[in-house]
Amino acid sequence: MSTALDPRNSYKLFNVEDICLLVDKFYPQDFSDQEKIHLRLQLQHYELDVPNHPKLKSMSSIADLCQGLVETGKSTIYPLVDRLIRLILTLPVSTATTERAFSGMKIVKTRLRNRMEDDFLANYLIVYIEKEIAERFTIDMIIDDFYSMKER
Amino acid sequence: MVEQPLCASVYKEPALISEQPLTRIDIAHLIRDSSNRPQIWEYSVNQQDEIRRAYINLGSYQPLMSEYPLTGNKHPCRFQSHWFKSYLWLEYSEKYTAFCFPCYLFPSKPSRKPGLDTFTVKGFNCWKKVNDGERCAFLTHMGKCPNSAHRFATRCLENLKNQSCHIEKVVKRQTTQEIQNNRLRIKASIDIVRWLTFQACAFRGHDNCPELKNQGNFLEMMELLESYNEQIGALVLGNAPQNAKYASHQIQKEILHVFARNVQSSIRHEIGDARFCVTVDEARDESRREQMALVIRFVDRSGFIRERFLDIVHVKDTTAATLKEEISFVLSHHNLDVQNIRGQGYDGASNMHGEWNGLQALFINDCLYAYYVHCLAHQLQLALIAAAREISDVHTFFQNLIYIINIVSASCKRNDELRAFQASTIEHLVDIGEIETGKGVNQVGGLQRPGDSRWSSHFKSICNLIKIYGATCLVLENIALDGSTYSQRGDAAFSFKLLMSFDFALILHIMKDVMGITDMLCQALQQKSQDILNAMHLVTTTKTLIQKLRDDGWKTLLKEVTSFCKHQDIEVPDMDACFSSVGRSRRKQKLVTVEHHYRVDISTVIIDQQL
Repeated sequence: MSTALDPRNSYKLFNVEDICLLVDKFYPQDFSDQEKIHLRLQLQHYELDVPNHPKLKSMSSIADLCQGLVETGKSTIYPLVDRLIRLILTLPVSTATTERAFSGMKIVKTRLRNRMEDDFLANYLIVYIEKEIAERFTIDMIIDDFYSMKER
Repeated sequence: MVEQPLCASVYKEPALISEQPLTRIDIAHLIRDSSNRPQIWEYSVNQQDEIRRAYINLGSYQPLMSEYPLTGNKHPCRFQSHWFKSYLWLEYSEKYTAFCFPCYLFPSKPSRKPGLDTFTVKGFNCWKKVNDGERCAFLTHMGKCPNSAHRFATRCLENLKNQSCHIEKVVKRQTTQEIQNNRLRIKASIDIVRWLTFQACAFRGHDNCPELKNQGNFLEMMELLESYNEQIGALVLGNAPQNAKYASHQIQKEILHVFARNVQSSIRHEIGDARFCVTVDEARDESRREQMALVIRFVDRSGFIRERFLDIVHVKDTTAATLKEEISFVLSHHNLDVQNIRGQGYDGASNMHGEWNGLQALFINDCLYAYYVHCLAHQLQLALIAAAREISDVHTFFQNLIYIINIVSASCKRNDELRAFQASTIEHLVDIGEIETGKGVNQVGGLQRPGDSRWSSHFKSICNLIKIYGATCLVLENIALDGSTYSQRGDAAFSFKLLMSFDFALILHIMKDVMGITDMLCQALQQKSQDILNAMHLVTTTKTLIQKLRDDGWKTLLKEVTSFCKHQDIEVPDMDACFSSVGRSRRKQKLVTVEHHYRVDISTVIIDQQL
């Protein structure tokens, strides 16, 4: 049913009924009754507007579509459609990221470092795997937190 | 910033202190939920300040939900999330009651007055009284007079946060120069810790006595810095005062801890109040402890799919109940609400996907909309394995493949021989201009053993064998002629015969084609930001490709195999004369693809169902 939102082939598969059914069946908690009516209206506008938008016309996947909606500001015009797309994108596909985490664990906790404590391992892995976040921190932020952690 | 002995706090301890055994509580495992946590006076006196500080760092427990459950019999009302904004001290618990954060941390002396412990012990849930204008229950709790219990507790909290005002600190105020030096020292430590962590290096060895030549990565790095930069060199290690070196392993650990907490809180910040899904898997680590990794998948504000590694925890066993408990603990620790889960992804082990007692069922009990999706990559593996196992010819083929690889790569001598042959053939080919040279193109490779759990290894092993078919044949021939024992010669001769058979060559090529197609799908599924629609689309294209291969790939395949056989001097059966054998091969090929097709079909059906 979620294929109805697929932007491929200039939104050929778009179908308002299917989408409303999807919401009714799978996400009743995320949309109140009032919002369901609104969603139907929004979808009708969306059907006419988005496939003709120069930028959103040639999207190839729903992930691109979600980014495109935010970039063009359409996500504020169709907040409910945006919410639905986000919900669909949240569905998991594979556990590859966890497997990646374990291969990271193999690199960190090697034969020579097998006495590592669990807490230390967890901290190390979090920093090691999410490098891009840890890179952003400035030294001063760390010093301040370090200072507030214990009475020194 | 000089290390100080833990000094007694400047606040009055509550009068009611029961005799408690002096047990240390692990700061990292504090219960956050306000209705379940023990009261502050239940901790030992010496640890109370530490616990308070830990709670202050975590902040007040304010789980955001779109709708809170109804409470009250006569006039059911709900909690409202915007109250969090107007009353920063407010906390909400799993038992649907509200608490006050500062009053919990700094309880006033117990008095006979009723209702004083509503916001600290019992919990407040009479939501009707909130929208009562002047007499709003929250305002009443805060009190009008500046010395009310709540305001006093808030002041205590502010004071505890503001360490520089503590009386001991004021007495022993340091000069700015000293503070600057300390900051520079700790900066060096932090940079080193960060660098070592990014490169996955150990911080130290198991023995840290100063006489050792190699002091471990951290200290050696510090020395390196010292030798390059005079400014730092004048401050760190030997030149630092004894109480502020910032180089001990406890400090290293604490710095890493601060980093990890910061990463987690920025992930939490990224999630915001978006719906998310959990992906969980367990594995055993080097010291045979079961570790469970928890990854959160969500869509961030600018519309990107993110998969963030949130935490890894040690679990005692792998029953669904234990896993559930651990996951809930981690989630509530990060202020994430179970009600916001909109999907779960596991690898399909029985403790995970079991219909009644599996982890997914337990979560669905808590949150009706946590849809479970079987990991597509794992599903593809299962389908392929089943396809390979259920056709006897293909099964024998893989058995033979493993057998040959075992014989060829059994000893280093044989491996060397293989490499030498390969090198000579490559040189020859380059000389006559048949292949091009380039970086990493003509590397000499060995044979790879296929493993059951990772299917792309099968594909690689098949490709490798095709590439170095000639060399493998030569090695086997050599062993067959002058192996040291009879059994060795016999084995080698047998596998040589296998290699030279047409059947083997044919299946080798069929499998290469089929698996080449599925390998694409397999790799695509493992990409970081894959969405379910795309994945299903890929499955469909794969199906079409295989169908195409089945319908009209036979001729090209046969041509390829024939030319390959000619190249390797394998006898090709006459297609017209030996009708039976060709017919068999033909049927076989059909079977493989039909079977395969069938499998992929099934997996798509399963996926569809799960959607």
